[in-house]
Amino acid sequence: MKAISNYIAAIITVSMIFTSIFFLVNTMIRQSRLSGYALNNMSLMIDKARESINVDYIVRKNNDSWILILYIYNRGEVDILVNNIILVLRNLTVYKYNVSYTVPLGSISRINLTLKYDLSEILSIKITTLRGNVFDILSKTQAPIDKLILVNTTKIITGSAFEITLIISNRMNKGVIVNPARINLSFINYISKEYIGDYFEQIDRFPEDAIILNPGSQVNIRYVYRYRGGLSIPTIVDLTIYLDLETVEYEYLESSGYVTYLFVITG
Amino acid sequence: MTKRLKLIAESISVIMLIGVAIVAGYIVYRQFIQQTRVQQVGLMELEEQAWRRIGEKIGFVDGYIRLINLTHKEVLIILYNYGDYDITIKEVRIYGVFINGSIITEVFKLNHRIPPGRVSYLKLYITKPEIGFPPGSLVKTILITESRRMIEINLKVIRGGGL
Repeated sequence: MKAISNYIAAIITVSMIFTSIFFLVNTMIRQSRLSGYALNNMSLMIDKARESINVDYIVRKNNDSWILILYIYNRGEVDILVNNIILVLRNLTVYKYNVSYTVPLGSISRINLTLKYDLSEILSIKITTLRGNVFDILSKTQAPIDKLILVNTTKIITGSAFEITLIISNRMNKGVIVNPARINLSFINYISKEYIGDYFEQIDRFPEDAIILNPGSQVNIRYVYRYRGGLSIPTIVDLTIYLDLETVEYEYLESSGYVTYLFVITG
Repeated sequence: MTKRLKLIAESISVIMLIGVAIVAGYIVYRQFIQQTRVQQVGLMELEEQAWRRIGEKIGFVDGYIRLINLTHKEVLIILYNYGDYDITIKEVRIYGVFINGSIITEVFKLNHRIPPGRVSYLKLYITKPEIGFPPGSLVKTILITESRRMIEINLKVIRGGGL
């Protein structure tokens, strides 16, 4: 009799011990899975913080549509996968482009987008990466090449010469070849938006030849132009520049800039 | 005779004791199992919440309030879910300006689900003349998700005709 009760007590004790051990082991496994997931997420967050890009854009007209070309330079510490391009128009229509572009470390990627609507309708362009970063394309502070255009006079009369100074600074971690001959300056009538480059002639340019712009440095390129005359008074002149650049690693990089109200023709 | 009776009485008492011991032991055992199960379920629930808390990640892409006319305002919020879980936006609270200059909160109750890895936008319409937004300003907006997470964003106010 006593033996039977001892057996029963032993069975109950053993089953309790096994239940405890099972729950303990189960909890341990689940805990380790959770902490592994948390660690993985932490490293993902660190990788996200290490993503850093310079982005520039240029627009070309192609028949009745526009082509938006994005240049993305990866200056961060991890490779970047661009997975969404989001465009917002002025009437708050949203266009989402699902893309998949990998930008390796320290290189420039070029993304082409064909737009069927007028460019002045665009309110913002954003790109997102797989790790969750959102970058603003239209933000000037993120451009790989910083441009500044200055003119030495604001009023031009027939026959007078004027200077245009173009300051280019390199924000990337690699050198860029700047060839002044491949920089295209075009004068535009502010009102009618037509090209009026034929009324101006280039007299001088300094420097003449291509130079290598080292990381973080800047160059001043001076152009001397003369106004031949022939435009009505007053004409407000805008300027667009197209920079056709190459990095020292022979990667192609275009950049453009626009100046409204460069000067007024007064005689 | 008395010896035999004594033996019977003794064995009955032993059987009763065994019965009591079995019942008591079973109750203790059941109680133990119940207790551990409750603990386990509680732990799993906590763990589930921890998983969601780590895995829910959302980024704000862009947001605007377009003033169509005095009455109609269009709100656009673009969000990017880069986490591992669905995120459901339950409430949007937009802080506007009332007629007398005080701050008024416009609350939208909705059920906007964003799957993982997806960019999604939500459009809301305010058709009240008494609530206003200064053009060019930033409007503070709070999104509340299903998991009671609050996301604070700023919407840009733009002018835009039409309608």
